[in-house]
Amino acid sequence: MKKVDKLQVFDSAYDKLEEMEDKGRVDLSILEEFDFIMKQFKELELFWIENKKAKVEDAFLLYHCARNCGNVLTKMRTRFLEAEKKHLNPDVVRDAQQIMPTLSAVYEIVALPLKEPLNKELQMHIIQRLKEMRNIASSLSFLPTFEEETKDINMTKFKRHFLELAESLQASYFEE
Amino acid sequence: MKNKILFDSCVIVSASVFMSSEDLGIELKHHFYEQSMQLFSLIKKNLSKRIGVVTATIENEALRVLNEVVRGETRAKYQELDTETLFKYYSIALNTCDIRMRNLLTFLQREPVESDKVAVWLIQVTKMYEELTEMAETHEKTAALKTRAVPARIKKMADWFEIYRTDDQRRHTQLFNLLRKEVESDDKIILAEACYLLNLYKQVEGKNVVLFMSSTDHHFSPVRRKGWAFESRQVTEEIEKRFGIICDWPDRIFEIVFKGL
Repeated sequence: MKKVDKLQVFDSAYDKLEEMEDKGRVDLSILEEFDFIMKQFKELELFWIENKKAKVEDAFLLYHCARNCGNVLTKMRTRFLEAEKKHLNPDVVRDAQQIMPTLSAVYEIVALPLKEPLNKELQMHIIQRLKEMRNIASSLSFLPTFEEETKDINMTKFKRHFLELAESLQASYFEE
Repeated sequence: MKNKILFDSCVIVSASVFMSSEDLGIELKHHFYEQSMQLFSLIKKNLSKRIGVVTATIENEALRVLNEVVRGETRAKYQELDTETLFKYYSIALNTCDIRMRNLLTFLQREPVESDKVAVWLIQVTKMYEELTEMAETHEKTAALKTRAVPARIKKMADWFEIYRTDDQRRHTQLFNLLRKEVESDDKIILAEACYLLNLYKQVEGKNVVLFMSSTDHHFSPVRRKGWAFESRQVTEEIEKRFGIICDWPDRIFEIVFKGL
């Protein structure tokens, strides 16, 4: 991969996907682009984890977006490898062409520095962009399964926090 | 009678959290979850009857509510866990509920709405809430009037104003809630969409259509409190009187609709 900047890498990936579609076969050199973008998303996850200037809940939302994009790319990477190994039809190329624009749109949001707290409209805009990305990823089976998402976490602790989340929801919406 | 149930965002969110908890093997015992899930089960079992409906506004609101609750939790738990673990846990929790919510929404009929016609209903909905708020503002004065009417010989025996005010406040909790918590514009739009839908159903499916709105929001459904033998339902009754829509808790709607099946 030629040296490209953070946003150009998406263009480079689009070009390769187009070429693959024309030729009707998978070219694994695109993994360089995927790895580069995954690395960017990972760095953004860390950026929002460590960010002390932004409000915690805003940092979380942007982290959540970056993490989801990274997960989808991981799944897509595996699908490309499988397609090459098993000499499958290049359906994965068309699938990738569908999801890439939404990944790029989310990238542009999470990579922007946050100058002030997110207002309700902006929050909704981000949530909607993520929803669009996850909708397409879901229809193309690019979303990780529950088991894949939870494979390296402490389930006991996670369950406890989930229960607390359920209690907060109940307290917010069920005054008794 | 043909029943239709419009699911409000809080009911969709609570059912998705309940289903996610089942995935995790956690038991959520609170009635809040059970009743939302119970109503969804009724819809699933009677899918061909097309009872459950939703609009895009409610779907978006459900997604916003879910995000809002999770974001609130990250803020509340910020000091308890290291940020990386905290963010990861809540990101997974959000995704788990999101997947369940997608699944639940497939059982509801997404109704398209004509925004220009909804806008006409919105004017009436806004007017109703304004009038109810005004009523709540002026209502406080009755406690003062009642206090003035207390016979002089017992006047000093108690703080009558406080007694009357407390009693009034309890009985009119749903009304006074409008002063405490302003009705959000999205809620007004949801009610206007419900009005539009009921009008449409009556035109297309006949006059014997009943539209329920299943909600736990006090701007729609009656206020219930533990230990109260009554419900405060001034707003709910006004919605039914003006627009013919029956707003109630999921368990009450379940009872009514189940009987009619």
